[in-house]
Amino acid sequence: MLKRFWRQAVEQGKVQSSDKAQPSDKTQPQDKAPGLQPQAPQPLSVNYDANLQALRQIFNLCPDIVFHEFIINSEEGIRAFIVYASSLCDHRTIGDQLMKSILPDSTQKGVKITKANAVEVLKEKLISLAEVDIVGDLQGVEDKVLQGNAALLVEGSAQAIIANARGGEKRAISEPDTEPSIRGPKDGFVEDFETNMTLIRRRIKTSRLKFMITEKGKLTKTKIAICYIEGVANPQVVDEVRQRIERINNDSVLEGNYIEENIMDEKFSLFPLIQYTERPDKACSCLLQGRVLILIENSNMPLIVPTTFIAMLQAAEDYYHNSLAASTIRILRFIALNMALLLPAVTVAVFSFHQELLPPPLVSTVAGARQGLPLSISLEIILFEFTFELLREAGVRLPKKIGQAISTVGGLVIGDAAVNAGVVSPISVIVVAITAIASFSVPNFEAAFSLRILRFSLILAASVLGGIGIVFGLMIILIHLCSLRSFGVPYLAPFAPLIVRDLKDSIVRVPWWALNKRPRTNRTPNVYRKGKAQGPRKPKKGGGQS
Amino acid sequence: MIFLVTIMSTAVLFIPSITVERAKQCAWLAVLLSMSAGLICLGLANALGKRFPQQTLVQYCELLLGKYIGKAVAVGFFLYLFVVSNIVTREFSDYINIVLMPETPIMVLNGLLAVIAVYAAAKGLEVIARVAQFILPLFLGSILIIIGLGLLEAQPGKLLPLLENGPGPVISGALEPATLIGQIIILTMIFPMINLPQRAVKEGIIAIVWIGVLLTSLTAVTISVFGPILPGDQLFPFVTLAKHIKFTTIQRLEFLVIFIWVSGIVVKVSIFFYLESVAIKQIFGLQNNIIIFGFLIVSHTLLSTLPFNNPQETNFVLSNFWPPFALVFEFFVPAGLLAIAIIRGKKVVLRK
Repeated sequence: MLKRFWRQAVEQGKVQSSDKAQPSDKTQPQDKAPGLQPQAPQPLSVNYDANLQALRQIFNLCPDIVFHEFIINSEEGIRAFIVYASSLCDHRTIGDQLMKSILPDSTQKGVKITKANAVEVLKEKLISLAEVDIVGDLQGVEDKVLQGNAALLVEGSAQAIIANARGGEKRAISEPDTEPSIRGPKDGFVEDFETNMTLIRRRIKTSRLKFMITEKGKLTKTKIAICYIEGVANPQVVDEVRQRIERINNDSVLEGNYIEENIMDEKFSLFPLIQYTERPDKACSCLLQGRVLILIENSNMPLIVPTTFIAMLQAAEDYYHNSLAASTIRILRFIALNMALLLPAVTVAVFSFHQELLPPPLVSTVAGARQGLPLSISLEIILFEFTFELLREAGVRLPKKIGQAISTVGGLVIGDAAVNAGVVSPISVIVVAITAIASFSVPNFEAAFSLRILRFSLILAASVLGGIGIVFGLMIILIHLCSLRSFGVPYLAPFAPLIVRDLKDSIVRVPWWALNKRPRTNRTPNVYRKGKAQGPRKPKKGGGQS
Repeated sequence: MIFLVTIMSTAVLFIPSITVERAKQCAWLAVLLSMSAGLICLGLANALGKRFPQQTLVQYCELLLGKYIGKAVAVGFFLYLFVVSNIVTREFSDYINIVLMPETPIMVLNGLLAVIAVYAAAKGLEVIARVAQFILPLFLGSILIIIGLGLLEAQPGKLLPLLENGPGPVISGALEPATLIGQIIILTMIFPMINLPQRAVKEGIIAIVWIGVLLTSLTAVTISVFGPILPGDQLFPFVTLAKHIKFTTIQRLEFLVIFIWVSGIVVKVSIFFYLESVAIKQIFGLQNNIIIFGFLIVSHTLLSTLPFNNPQETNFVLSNFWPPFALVFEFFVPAGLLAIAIIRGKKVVLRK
C-alpha cells in the first residue's frame, strides 16, 4: 500500500514538474509554490457579521489569535470586535489602554459614538497609543494583526482601526558572545528588530541616520532595514544595496545569510564579501565610515557592506585601545593569519622537498624524532589537521559540559598518545597546534572558514610540488582576491589598488587625531571626519604649571 | 607598475649572465645603454597610441597596411607575443627544474604555470594589474635587499678598467637587455583598454628608469662580487649572488628570491596570455574564450618543451638569435607603422 502511494506521489510529482517545464507556464508569474499566490485584495464589508466571519475563516486554526466581541454604544447597540495575536501583543497595552479608551466610560463625556462617526471618534481616542492606522481590506487586517497590532472593527463601517500593541517575548540585551571585548561597550544586538534600531539610534543621534524598511520572504514577512547616514554613505552604494535586496524573491528569511548569499557580488567566493557584526558600536563605526548596514528582523547580526579583506583582521576594540597597542595587535593578527594559512604547508614543503633550508642542528633533531615513523610528514600533518578540525567542530556543537571531555580526549589522548605510540612525530603536533592557535586569533569567523579550506589546499599543493606548489597556490589565491569586489569596492583595497590614505587604518591604526579622513574605499561624499590638527599638544613653555 | 614586474621578472635572471659574457666588466654600462632603447620603444608606443587611441596594434596594422599585408604583420606580432610567452614559460620551468625540483618533468611545470596564467588572463587586465601592484613591493623589496647585502661584499675595483675593448662589446651586450626592456611595446596592445593612457605612459617611463637603475646596479654588484668572468659562465648569476650572501644568521636568501620571482613570472605570462587572447580575437574574429585559453594552455605545455633542449641552449639562443627577431617587432614594426601612419597620415587619424 505504502509503496503504491509513494509511487503515485512520485509520479504526480513528476507530472507536476514536467508541467512546470512547459513553456506555457513561463508566461505566468513565477510564484508557483503552493500558498504563495498573491490574492487580490478583498475589501472589508459594511456588514459586521461578514467581516467577523471572514476573519475567523482566515485565522482558522490559529489559537493565538484572539477575537473580542463587545458593544460600544449600549443605546444604539453598536457592536464591535477587536482581533489581535496574543503571542505578539502586550496584554497590558491591550487591556489597560486600548480597551479602556474604547469602552464607554460613564464618567467621560465625549462625542456620542454612532455608526457613522465610529471610526473617526475611536481613532481619535486611540491616538494616545503609539501608532494608529486605518485599513480597508481583509489582507491588510491580516498582515497588521500578524505584525503585532490590534485591529478594531465596528459595526456599520468598512474600515478597520489598527493600533500598535506590539510586545511579547524577546531576549534581553546581552554581551555579544562572538565578539567580546575588554574595553568598549558591552551591549550586543538582539533578535528584536526595534531594539536593534534603538541601539544604533542611541549612538548616532542625527536625523541623517536613515532606515529604509522593506519586507522580504513571502511567508516569513521579515522586515529588513537598509541603514545608512545620509551624506556620509555613497548614495550609489545605498541604491545598489536597495536594488539588490529588492531583487530577492524568496519565501523565507530566517537569518542574515538568506540575504547575504543573494546580494553578494560573486556567485561563489572563498572569502566573505559581506561582513556581519554583533556589536552595535562596530556597526555604528562602519556607518560613520560611510558603509551601509542591513538590519534583519530576527537576526542579531546585521550585515555590513561594502567590506574589504583587511576588515577580517580588524576588531572593534582596535579603536578603543592605544593606537600603538592596537597597531601591534593588528600586526600580530596579520602574522597569525599568514601562519594559519601557510605554516603547515611550509612545514610540509621544507621537510619533504627543501631540507637544505633547515639549520643543521634542527635537521638532526627533526631527523632523529622522525626516525621509524610510518607516515610521511605531509600525511601526518593532513591527518592531524583533520583531527583538529573534527575536535573543533565537535566542541562547537556539543553542550559545554561534554565539550570539556572532548578537549581532554583531543589534547591528552590523541596528542600525547599519538606521539608516544610513535604514530606521528612531535613536530607535526607542534605545527598543528600553533596553526590552530593562530587561526583562532583571526577575529572574523567567516574568514577563519576560508582560511581552513585554503590551508588544506596549500598543504596538498606543498606535498605535491613543494615550495613552488605553495607559490602557485598563493598566486591563485591572490588572483582570486584581486578579482573580488564587494559592492563595487575592490576587495584588496587599500593594497591593490593602492590607496595611501587608507593605509592609515589597515594593518596599523594611527591615532584618532591623525584619522581625519574617512576611508576612500567606501567612496564617501563626505570626506572629512573632523577638522585638521586636533592632536594633543604640549602646553607652551612657560605656560601652565611651573 | 605592471610593466615593471613584467620586464623585471625575466630580466633579473638572465641579464647579468648574457651581458657579462659579452661586455665583461662593463656589462652594467650595457644595461644602462639598453635602457635608452627601452625609452625609444616606449616613445614609439606612445606615438602610435596617440594616433589610434581606440585600437590595438593588431587592429591598426590592417588599417594601415591593407587587409593582407596588415593581417600578416598582425599575425607576426601575435607570433612575437606567443614566442615570448613560450620562452618565458620555458625559462621558468628550466630554472625551477635546475634549482628546486630536478625530478619534476618540465611539462608539468609548464602546464601549471599556463593554467594559472590563463586563470588570471580570463579575469582580465584589471585583475592582472592589481596582482602586479600587490606583489610589486615584495618584488622590489627582495631585489633591493639582495643588492644592499651584495654591496657589503662588493669590491668596486673589479669594475675597472672601463671600456677596455672599446664600445663594441658593450653595444652587442646591450642588445639582449634591450629586447627585454623593449617588451614595453605591449603598451600598444593595452592602450585602448586603459582609462588614463597618459598616466600609463608616465608609469612606463618610471618603470623603465627603475628597471634600468635596478638592473644596472644589480649587474654592477654581481660583477663587483664575482669579477668579470664568473657571472658569464653561470646560468643564473643573480641566484648565485643571493646564495653567496650571508648576513649574520640570514642565509639561503635565494629561496625568498625564487618565490617572489615566480610570482613575477606568473604575472608576466598572464599579461602575455591576455594580450595573445586579445590578438587572437581581433585577428581571427574568434570569440570563444574557452577555445582560445584552451589553445594557450595546451600550446604552452607542449611547445615550450620544444625549442631548447637545455638551459644552456636557452641562453645561447637568447643571446644570439633572439635579439634580431624581437627587435623587428619591438622596434621596426612599430616604427614602420608609425612612419606609414604619418605618411598616409591624417585621414586615418580623422576617422578616429
